Amino acid sequence: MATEAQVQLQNVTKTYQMGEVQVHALNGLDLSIQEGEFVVIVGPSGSGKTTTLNLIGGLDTPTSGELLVAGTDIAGYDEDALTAYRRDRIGFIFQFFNLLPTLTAGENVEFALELADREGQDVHQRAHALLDRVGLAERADHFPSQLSGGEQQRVAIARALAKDPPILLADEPTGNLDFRMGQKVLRVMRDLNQQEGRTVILVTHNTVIGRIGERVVHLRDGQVSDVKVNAHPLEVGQIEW
Amino acid sequence: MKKINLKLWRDIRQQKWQFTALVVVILVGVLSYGGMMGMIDDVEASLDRTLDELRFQDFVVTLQDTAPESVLQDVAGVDNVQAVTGRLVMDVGLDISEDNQARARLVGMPATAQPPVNQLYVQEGRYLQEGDGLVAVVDHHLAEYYGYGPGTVLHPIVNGEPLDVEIVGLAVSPEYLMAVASAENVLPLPSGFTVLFMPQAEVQGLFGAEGAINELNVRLVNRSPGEVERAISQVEKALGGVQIRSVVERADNPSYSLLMLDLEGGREMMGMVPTMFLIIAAMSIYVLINRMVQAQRPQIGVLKALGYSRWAVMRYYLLYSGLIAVIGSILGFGLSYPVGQAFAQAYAAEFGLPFVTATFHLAAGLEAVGITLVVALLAGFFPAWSSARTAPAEAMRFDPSVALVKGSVPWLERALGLVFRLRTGTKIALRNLFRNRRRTLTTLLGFVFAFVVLLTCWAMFDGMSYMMEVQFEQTDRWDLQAIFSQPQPYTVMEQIRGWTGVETVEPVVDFPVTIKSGSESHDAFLVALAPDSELHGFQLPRSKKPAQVLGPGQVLLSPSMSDNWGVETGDQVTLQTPLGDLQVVVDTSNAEVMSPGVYANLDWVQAELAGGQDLFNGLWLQVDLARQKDVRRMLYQLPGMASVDLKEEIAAGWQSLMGLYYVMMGMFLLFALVISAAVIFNTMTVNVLEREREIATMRALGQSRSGLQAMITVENLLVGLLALVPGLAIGVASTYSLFQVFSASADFYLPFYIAPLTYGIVVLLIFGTALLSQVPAMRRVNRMDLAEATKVMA
Repeated sequence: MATEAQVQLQNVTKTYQMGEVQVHALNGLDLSIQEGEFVVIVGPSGSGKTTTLNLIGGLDTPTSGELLVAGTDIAGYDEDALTAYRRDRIGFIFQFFNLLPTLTAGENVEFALELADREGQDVHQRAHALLDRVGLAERADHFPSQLSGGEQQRVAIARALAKDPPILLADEPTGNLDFRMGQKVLRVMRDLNQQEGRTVILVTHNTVIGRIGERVVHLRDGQVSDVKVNAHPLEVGQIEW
Repeated sequence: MKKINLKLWRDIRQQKWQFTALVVVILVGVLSYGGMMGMIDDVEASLDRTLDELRFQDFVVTLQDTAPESVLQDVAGVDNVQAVTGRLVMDVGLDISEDNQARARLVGMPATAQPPVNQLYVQEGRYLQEGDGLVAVVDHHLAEYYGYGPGTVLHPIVNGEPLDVEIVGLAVSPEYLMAVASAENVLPLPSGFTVLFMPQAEVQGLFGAEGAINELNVRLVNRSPGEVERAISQVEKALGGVQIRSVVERADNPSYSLLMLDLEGGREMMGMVPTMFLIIAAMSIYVLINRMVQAQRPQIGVLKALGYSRWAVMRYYLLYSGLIAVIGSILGFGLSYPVGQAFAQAYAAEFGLPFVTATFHLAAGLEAVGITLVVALLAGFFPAWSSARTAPAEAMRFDPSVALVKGSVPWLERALGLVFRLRTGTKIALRNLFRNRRRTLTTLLGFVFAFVVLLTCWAMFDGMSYMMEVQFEQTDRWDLQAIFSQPQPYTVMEQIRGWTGVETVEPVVDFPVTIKSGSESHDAFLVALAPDSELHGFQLPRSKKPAQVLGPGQVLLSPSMSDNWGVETGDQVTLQTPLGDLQVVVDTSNAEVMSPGVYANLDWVQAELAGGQDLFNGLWLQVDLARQKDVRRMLYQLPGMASVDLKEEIAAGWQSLMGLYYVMMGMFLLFALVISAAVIFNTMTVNVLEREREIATMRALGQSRSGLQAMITVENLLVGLLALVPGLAIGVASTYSLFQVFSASADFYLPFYIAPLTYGIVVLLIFGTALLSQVPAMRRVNRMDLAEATKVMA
């Protein structure tokens, strides 16, 4: 029996106006992602991979087409609905970490917890637990300016997990990290997928990273150009770039 | 166009609203410095010119009784006397209508030509001429009020009978630029007081004083203070046995002194404004340029890598700040003349100055422009220098993933954290205050400035309202005040007491005196009354009763008299009166607010100066208010009645005078709100621009727009709260200082008073403006492209 996809894009287009030029970032994209999958989206610059992630993450809306998440079409959501969607269903990890610089690592996670407004939770304790999950419990009181790039990205992952989202989206999570730091971050994401069953959608221009995903979706000119299934995804320690 | 200049132009276009906001701040600063100060100078110059053209007196000698015109020759022969005019001047009532009478001063003038001192500027109609009978050139104030003109017949009441006097001309007189009857009551009352300049012979005939005068107007060659005093002394000697009631110098002319008080207050008010504008402008420019430099670091790196010199890079940012200053200054400078001129014209018209001097204050304007340019360039210099010093590689290595902001927990958060559990949203707002201290300081200064100006302006309303209440509710408890031109027996008072509508009548003796203390002497009005008067409320401290301080040989002064004359409670002074000198002991604790008199015991004064006779020359009356106008009419019909004033008309006159102040205060209020709005707008916009990525991230995490707006609002209002105490404290000090200016005259004592509600109004107005000013920044937050903004470099 075929299970319903957790994320489904059907004939999605996205067009931007850049000055006097129209940019067609997505041209009728069709893509399905199952619950618990680890999908890597790769492609050259301008292929539409970040746009795809932004649409799934509710940071942007399609120009046309259907975008179903857990069976609900979010393409027609208004701003309030998108805000709630981002708050409750998505964990976003950015290339530039995007930690709030005036908050400590722990407070960055607490911020996301307060937004999610979990009842009966000790926000401080849960933040600590999440940081521990990514191996940074002892750095909870440090500000981003006192953390390395890799540490900042792991704090960002902990923050993304604060809302216990079913879907984690990562946009070039290792783009600003050296190899060793990048490995650490990917390891955390793999663990979240394998141990907690979270759906992970990772966008990268680095095709090597695709080898740790269960499926690698190649985008070109705003459409899926190829899909490869990795029958035996590699461990993070087995890849080098 | 060189490409770097093209970049400059495009950067300005991109930040047009911030650029404009700063141009506005500069414009207002230069305008206020050049235009407003220039306006005050112009009004003063217009006043001087008017007084000169119309041959205004240097002093006036009022005689106790009349004297023959021949005394003029004796005075004309005194050294330093350029010219002297002798006149018969009498105050009477004027019938306006059945229930409206005014006070009219009949002044005898030469019929053939204008007098050599105190000439008239005829606005409409003509001056007097040979053959004129009962005609008059009338002071323009009352005529304009009631719409009179040449041909209108007025009805002054002389010896109880109304006369027909035709107006042949309307004029401005240098003695009555404001319609003030006497120093006793310095309220301009255009509806209740006028001057009829009539042929001298007619006036003399009306009062049976043919060939007699009771006033000499003297104009000197040399006006230096020492020479004026010497001339007065010699004129008094030349008059020999003629009894002198008073000698009043030019500066003490009631109309002139009121005008000068008005101008001084305006100058004081305007003095503090430009300085604050410039400080705020400087800090705002610094914030803007600094932010630009931070945002454009990679571009700076590229420029330097391409071969642009340090100076070329600096020049770019200096040009930016210089352009703000130049455009704002040119506009402000350009506007300063027409705006200053318009205000000067309006001001001069309000006071009826016929000769208006409106000059282009090049020096003041250039000074303002020069100061502004220096300040703006200095403000832009430091961030520009920082930009030029950055090595190209370092600048281009700018990595948005590296957190540039050093986080820390400020003391304020630690203190609050001891009491409250703070949510992260609150922590963000608190920490953002200390994140860029100079920027926060700029916003703080904007708030402080607004608090100071608004509180000062509003407090002036309070002070003046309080002054009115003290004067007209607590001090003057009468409804009518009547002054006779000659002493009257008590039988007249008894007659009046029997009139329908008259409830209480109290006699007073009221005449000008000179207080001599050591080598100093000061002119004042003595008011002798019963210590237990029901119709006058002394403003004494609780520990003193009127009976204690108004015994025989005692006089009561006000604190403003004490400050101005240098006399203290317990001092012995000489009271020089037309009927002889009295030695008295003063008490200076009577805190009356407007035109306080020198109070003395009526019985004692009658005993000392009138041989114990029950005589009075003034009455205070409490009446049935429905009948007060009837009573006034009947009073004016009494022989020898010089003036009858209704308290409600005096109070209304003050209110209308305050109208002018309110307009000026309103203007300053607006200035303050515009400046604070511009500063807050600028800072908020910079804050949002700089934190676009953070804000977008918060929204990406699921923070609602309203939640973000609340966070930004809290941050904004926190700065306002920090500014509250210093702003209000400085505002109170500034208000006190302004009150002191208005209390510098012996005639006014403006009690320092700020209504509690005023603080609330000021705070609400400023915070309301702050909330409105952040609307553009909020719109930016709401319309943010999250996908782009989460990647943007700060």
